[in-house]
Amino acid sequence: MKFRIYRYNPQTDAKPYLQDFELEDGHGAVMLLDALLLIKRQDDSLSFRRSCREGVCGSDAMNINGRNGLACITPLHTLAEPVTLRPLPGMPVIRDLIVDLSQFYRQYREVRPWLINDDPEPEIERLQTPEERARLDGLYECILCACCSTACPSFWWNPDRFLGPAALLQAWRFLADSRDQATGMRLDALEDPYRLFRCHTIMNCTDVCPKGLNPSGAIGHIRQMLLKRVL
Amino acid sequence: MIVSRPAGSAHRGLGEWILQRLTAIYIAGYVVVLALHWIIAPVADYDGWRQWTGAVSVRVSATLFFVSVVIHAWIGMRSVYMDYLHTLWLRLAVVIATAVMLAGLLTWALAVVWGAGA
Repeated sequence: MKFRIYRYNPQTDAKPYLQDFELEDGHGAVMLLDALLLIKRQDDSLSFRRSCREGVCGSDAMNINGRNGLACITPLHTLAEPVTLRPLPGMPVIRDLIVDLSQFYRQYREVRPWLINDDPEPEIERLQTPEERARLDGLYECILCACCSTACPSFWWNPDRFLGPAALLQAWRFLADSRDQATGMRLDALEDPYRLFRCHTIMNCTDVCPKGLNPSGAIGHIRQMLLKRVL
Repeated sequence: MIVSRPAGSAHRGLGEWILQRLTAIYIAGYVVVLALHWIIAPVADYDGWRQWTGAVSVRVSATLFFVSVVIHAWIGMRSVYMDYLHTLWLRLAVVIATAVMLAGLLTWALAVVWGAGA
């Protein structure tokens, strides 16, 4: 099986290049990450992130044949050869398939992704009805792999000012939470031509999300909430 | 390295977003209604056109149409500039040029709609 992998070591390479690798038949790899680990045995200078190898940690997000995804849950038999692997688009490359996600995390922090509730802390837990809890389904599962935000052209053009689909999904996750008391503050912080309204609903985010979540829908909910506030 | 500018929120953007959708609905509706009208009741000759374009309802709906198109274009073009033009002076120049052009087009369109036969 043939692979073309993006290589770049800023300390030794003047510019990035694609390197060809091949795995013999009967290599036994099922998922793309298995293949990458076998390739790393051929050339241990190949660098990529991985940890849980089952789509929970979000470390091995990369651009696979032009589409962002997690190597560990991408079956090899679904991929056309040569399998071309590049780092997540639009992010500064640290080395090979490893990108600097500082900007992505900074935007995540901007939406204050934690529960804000000024009531005295209860003895055991803050209760929700099953219906209230159900509203968080499809939101809390985000693993922050950055596949969505780095597939978003608006995030490519304005990564410093547009929050990006991942952060906006989390913004909605806390707006939708019945236990959160900072709805007004959160909406105030989102109502901005750049932070929220750079989204033009092209839905690349929803298309690539390896967890099957819908950031585009979450952004729509935030807009509805802003609309209801002024109507 | 890119650094985020935590300048807070501008507390706007919703108005443009609503206007963009409202004007889109009016433009689409106007075009469909106009087309249907011309199919059902075709205007026969020059006098017919004069009479039709002289009606206040036609002029008011056409005025709303051109105003909607200009607002829609203004918001849309500004959005494109915000996406792609990151040099402040360049963006400002292009935004002003667009505003002047759209204002000119609107003036022209309204002169046509309210001009002859009024």
